[in-house]
Amino acid sequence: MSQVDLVEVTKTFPGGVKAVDGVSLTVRQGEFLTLLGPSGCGKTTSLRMIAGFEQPDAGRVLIGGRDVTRVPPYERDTGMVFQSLALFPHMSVLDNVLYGLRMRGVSRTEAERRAREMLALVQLSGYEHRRPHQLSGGQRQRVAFARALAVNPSIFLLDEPFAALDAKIRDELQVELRRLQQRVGITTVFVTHNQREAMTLSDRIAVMRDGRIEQIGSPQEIYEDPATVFVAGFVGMTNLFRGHVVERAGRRVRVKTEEGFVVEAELGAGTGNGASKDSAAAGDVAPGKPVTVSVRPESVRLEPRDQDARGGSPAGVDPSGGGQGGIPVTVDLIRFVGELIEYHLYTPGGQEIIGTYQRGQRTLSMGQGGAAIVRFDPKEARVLWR
Amino acid sequence: MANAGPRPAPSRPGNGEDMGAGIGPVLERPSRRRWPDPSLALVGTTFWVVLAFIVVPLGVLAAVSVHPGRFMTFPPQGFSLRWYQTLLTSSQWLEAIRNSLVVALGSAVLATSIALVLALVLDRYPVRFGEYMRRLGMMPLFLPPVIMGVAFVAFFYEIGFSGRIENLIIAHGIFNAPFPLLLISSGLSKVNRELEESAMNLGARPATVLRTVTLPLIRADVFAGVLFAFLLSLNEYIVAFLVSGFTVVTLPIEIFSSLRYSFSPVIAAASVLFIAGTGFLVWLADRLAGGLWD
Repeated sequence: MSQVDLVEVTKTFPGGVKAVDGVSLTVRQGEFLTLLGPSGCGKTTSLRMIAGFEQPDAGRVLIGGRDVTRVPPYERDTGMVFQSLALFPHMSVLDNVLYGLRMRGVSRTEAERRAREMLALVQLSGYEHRRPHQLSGGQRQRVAFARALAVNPSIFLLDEPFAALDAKIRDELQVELRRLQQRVGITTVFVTHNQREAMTLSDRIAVMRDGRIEQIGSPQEIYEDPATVFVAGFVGMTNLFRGHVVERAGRRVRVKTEEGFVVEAELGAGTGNGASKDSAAAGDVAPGKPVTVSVRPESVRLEPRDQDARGGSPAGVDPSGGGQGGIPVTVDLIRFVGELIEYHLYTPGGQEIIGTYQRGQRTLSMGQGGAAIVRFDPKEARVLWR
Repeated sequence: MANAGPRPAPSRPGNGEDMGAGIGPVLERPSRRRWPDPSLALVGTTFWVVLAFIVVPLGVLAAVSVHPGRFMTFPPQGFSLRWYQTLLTSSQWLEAIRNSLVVALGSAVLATSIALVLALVLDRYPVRFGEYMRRLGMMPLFLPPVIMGVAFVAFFYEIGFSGRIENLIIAHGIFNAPFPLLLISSGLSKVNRELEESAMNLGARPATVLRTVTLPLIRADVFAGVLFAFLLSLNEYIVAFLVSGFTVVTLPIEIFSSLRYSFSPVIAAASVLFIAGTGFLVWLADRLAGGLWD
């Protein structure tokens, strides 16, 4: 069990694509860290540099404090689960799990004892002599876990291992992976483009974009205090309002949106904390500066509005900047999404706002086509740089 | 909107992108054309005609081989296996069969070894001029056998090493390498790179990865390559004739020279034996390719 450090790591592929651009990252001992981002953001390349399959052009990779930048993969002591799982098709389940132990010169009986123990840990006792193609997707997944962990590596690496599974099995295996990881207590780096997966599994998440890290933090921090508009949009749903700062008092900022509505929001702890170059310091937020306000759908409060009010200035709304006037909207669509009710709303200018409510939380009288006012608590709205 | 397109899209004032995408112009689907029946019939007829062209001469050959008379005659007047007996007792024919098998086996192993090394190196390592090396390996496929044969003869004569069976093995080994090269290269390209990386991740050095993962995964292709090269060598006449320099006689050479002096049904018997052997190997290759590890 050890720590992983990436120090100012850069990787450019032939053709000039900068896959990883000056990334520094520390994965703490025993931590489950997820590299999250869209495809092409450099997350897989970063993982492959930790495993030793890619050599960084610049920067260093440290495992347990030891510089392994030029150490070949077979001397790195990492256990990796690949996207394709890469189980050896010409070997039985047991031989797959034994492979790494044999490479390390563990005696036959000891290796077999260890392999059977690992298979028991992933609930695959009795499947030792099957071939990978005779197993279900979830079982193959568990063999891959067992094989990677059998050698007792110091680092556990996973590259989108759940991508090929259907939703239900994926959920079960996520729970199983987390349990396994905590039981073994192994430092883990997990790569995914699925933000839900990242949220439910990780101790910390590093959100990546264009070869850089946008923000590192716990799932809660990332969700509640996104550092950039990209993070806010990528991790969970959000409503974004572009506008300019009107007034600032401490963390509280009053913003006039492009449609002319005035909303209040707060500077989050995350604002300005991102590693990305376009997240400027929070101190720069001053009147006149262009910003974006992010409001999560569950923070959107909906109140009925008198439909007969004159168009430009509906009842209760003060477009001139009076403060908590709210934003007038019409209800366009109501969707039932499992335990949530999702409202799709439109502002007069045509911007879509999404609000979600727990089923049974309260009954809203508004139906489709109804008029309403959107309000939100400034504490639950974040001011971000555009 | 003077220059609006021919199909103005429905749009909402103020906000085009949210709702406007609902209903677009319904495109007319081109109705799927069916192949008219005459072409289908033509394809069917062609198939049977081609099959007949392949099978009928073989049938005639088989029939001729059981003719008891001294000259090849069709239809056969009677039934006799005497020519098969002659074939399998005459030292001349047995020698030819033995030579053919030795050359085919030796050259198949040689051709596949060359192909395996070349394919592995070219596929797994960034070699300078790698593409040219692959083309060099494929060249015998595109050169006329006569030219290859003459080149080999000249070469072996120059180094003072002619008229030996080893020459034939070497010549066929190089001449037939393109086929195993194609098979093994295509096999390698189907091996998921992550399997090799996974082995490396588990602590296997590159040589061990090759031995425990890569080779086992392409062994069906290697076997197919050996069989292919074996068959090609067995059937090859031109290069064999030139390189052997009248000292080593293989089965095709023997059949050919027999035809020059006689018209004996033993030639037909040899051919039938030949076809049966080939058929067996093709069947074997087919079986092996499907399930080498299951």
